[in-house]
Amino acid sequence: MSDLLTEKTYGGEEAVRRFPAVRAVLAERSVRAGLVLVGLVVLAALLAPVAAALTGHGPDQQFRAEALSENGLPIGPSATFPLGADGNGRDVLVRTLYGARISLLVGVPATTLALVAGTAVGLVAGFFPGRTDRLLSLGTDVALSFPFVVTALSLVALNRGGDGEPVVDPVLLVILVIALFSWTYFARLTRGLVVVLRNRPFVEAAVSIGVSRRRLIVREILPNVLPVVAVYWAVQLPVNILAEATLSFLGVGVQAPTASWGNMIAEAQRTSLYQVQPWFLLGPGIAMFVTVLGFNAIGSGIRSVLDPQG
Amino acid sequence: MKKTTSRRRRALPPLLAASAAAALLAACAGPAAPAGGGASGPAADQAPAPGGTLRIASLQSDLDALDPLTGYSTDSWEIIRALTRQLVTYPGSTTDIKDDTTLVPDLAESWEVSKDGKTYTFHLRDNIRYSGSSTREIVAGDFVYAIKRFCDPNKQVAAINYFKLAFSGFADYCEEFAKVPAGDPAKSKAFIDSHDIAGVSAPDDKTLVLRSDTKNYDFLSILSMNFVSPLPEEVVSKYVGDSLEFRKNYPSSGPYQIASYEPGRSLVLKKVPGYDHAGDPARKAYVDEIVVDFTANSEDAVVQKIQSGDADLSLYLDVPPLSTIQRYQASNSPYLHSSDSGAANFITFNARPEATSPGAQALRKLKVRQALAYAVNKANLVQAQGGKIAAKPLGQIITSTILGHEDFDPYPTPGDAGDPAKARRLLAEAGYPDGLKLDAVYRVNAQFETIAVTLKADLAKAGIELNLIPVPPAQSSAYLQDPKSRWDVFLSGSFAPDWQGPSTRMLLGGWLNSDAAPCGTGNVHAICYDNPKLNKLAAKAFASDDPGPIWAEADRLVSADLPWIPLFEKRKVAITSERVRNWTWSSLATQADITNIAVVPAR
Repeated sequence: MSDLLTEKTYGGEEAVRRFPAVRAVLAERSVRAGLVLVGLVVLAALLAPVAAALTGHGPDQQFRAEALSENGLPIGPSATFPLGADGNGRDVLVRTLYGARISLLVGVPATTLALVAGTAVGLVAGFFPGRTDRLLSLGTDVALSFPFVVTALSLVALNRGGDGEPVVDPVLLVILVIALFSWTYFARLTRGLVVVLRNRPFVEAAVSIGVSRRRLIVREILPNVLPVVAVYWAVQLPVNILAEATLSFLGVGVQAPTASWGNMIAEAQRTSLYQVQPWFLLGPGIAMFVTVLGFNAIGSGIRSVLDPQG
Repeated sequence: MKKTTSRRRRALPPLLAASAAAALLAACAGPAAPAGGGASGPAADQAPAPGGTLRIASLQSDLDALDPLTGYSTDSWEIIRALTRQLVTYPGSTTDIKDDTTLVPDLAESWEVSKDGKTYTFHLRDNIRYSGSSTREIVAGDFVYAIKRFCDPNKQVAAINYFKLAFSGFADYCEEFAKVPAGDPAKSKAFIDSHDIAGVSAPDDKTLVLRSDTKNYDFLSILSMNFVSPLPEEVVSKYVGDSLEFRKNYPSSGPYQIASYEPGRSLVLKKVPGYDHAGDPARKAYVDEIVVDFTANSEDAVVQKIQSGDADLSLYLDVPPLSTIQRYQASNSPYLHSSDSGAANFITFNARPEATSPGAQALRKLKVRQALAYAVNKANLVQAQGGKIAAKPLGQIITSTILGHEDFDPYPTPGDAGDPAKARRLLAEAGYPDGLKLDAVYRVNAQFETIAVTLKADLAKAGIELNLIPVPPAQSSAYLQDPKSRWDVFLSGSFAPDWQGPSTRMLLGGWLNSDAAPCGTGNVHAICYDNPKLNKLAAKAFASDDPGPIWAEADRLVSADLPWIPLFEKRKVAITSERVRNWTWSSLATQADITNIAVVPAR
């Protein structure tokens, strides 16, 4: 068994080994379906200006006379407004497409950043029991105990320079804040996995043949952890896209009237207008669902191919 | 600057679509079938039956204030009205908020005014008692104690400026009191017991004498606010102001007393046994019990409770959701009430001398302000509020329910839809042919964000570009007051009159009067308006017996000068359950008067 393992894992020709892996991943049906879905969303985001040109509706343009009733209620889907209008007489379809840009631009980097940081912390904490683990776990708990809203609010105040202009680009700040509040979940998850893996026979075997710690973590532990973490990434993504809306509402980051899915969903809920114009909520909601479904399919496909235990 | 509580909306409601469909079906079934037992119709003019329980669904999970000293929101005033009485008060109106302007004797049975109009001598009623944590008789000394509490450094009265003008010696007394270190109730009590306010005295248990340095036509109106409620010192001084302990041991002077109080769950008020109705001309106190339910935490949940009959009224719901209003309107429901409230929204400018940005400097030119007034599309803003039922365009300082109001608009546009061409022309004349960029601050909540994005879209048509800067509500006044903050215009300016009718003092005599509110901290929204002509007119009006025409003149003068850009006047909209009878508006609470509303008794 140990021979087999050594040969399989430490055999030289890596390049050759990787290619089949990519091919195997691509051969997985759920991965292909996921790629198509994600590709569609990205395409839609890129083609947003085309939709704006076709409908003649800018993303922030208000059509109060055409798209709202006298008492301010938005119209439903029609020939000119395919998904109806929102509470300010703006085209929901055009805004959903433009919103994809912000939501992907914020959600994907923030979640990835959280994944990288959280996995790194979790690996180290899980692999080095004792003081290191205690310190890092304590740090994670402290980070978890920070109240999101209060911290975000104080960051807004800090990010306002002497001239009233923001010091850091608001979009970057939003990415950092969201990553700051979601890496802990990745850290906890990874640490738990590593603690279990640490005592598994194949790890002990690697230790017994004198593999360095670094190599052990990168070669033995990480491949077992990544698939699970990748799936969790897809779970965390929609949460982070919505967190962007919360931050916007507090005055950090993406500002009105710029559209993002989170903003649109929050607005539909706040105003209860989804009752008269369900597409106000369904438009960005379905877009988000498709995105998450796509990333989830990719994540679980990768997992079933790559997970050594799978 | 009484607050109308900002809206909080959360969470998706389940089942609402179902209840909406049910409501729609019910509406289609026929013209508003009578709901309650025996009543021939909800609006029938018959004497309301006493008894029953009035149930109120609160959007917030607790009251923002219950101590009459600190309560200064319309919603806290609605509840406090059931628990306190004043010297004089308004009896409520079944027609419109603005009709509730007749002062009636409350705890004071009668009063005399000295010849110079500066001294008021009140005679208290017989047989008036506290209920709840004290049951002794209410005496004149209790008012003296309550007023002495106004400038306790631990918890100051919410509207102190009124009283600095109203009572002789009050300002000096407060200056002394400010030296008492905060944090120790015993020290405050010692100060109160050993110091007196020259203009506030109780010669005997039934007589209260209040003296001003000047004559004020609205002196009694100032006294009608909940701040001036009697409190028993032996009970109140035991607690920290408005703490949960205080609320649970509330000494009530009104028709109801607190039976139970659990923040986040419910507040139950029970009618005081054997309440002397003859001695209270303002509060009929029809219902036996008032229950405030704190468990509904979204607008949808509140509205759903009312529609399903689990609640009769709402609390902390500024405006029902547009879709709900429309549903009630479509069915011509008698349970939808709306009234002018005198509250208004406007755009203010950064007029403090430290503001030297190009935008702030441009706004010092009248022509630029006029351009802004012409560029604004008020029709769009009214539509965003929910249409005619919720708002109406406004072009002047004084609103429709306030003394001195004469409807006019110095800068009218066709259909109130703005005149971008004219605005561009004025900008060019003022030296901005290529348009103007302004840093525009707004408070982030649903209502103000809608106003901000709508203004941005409409002003762009006139070449005025708004750079929107959102500020969280809790930080907004600090942001505006900080001389270092960067802003040219504030898009979320608003106010609600403290009382209806002769409350013109608040704006033309207060916010805009540089004698009363000099530029600096305390100047609301950094308006920093200075017009000696207005100050002269205000001084004349305060002491006048017929201040209406003087205020009207001041309004014409100031509205044309545009110290701010008036946008629209808000109307108050309320929905009730089908059990509610004798719907009554309260001037002070600018919404339902729970001490005069009746319910159909349960069968």
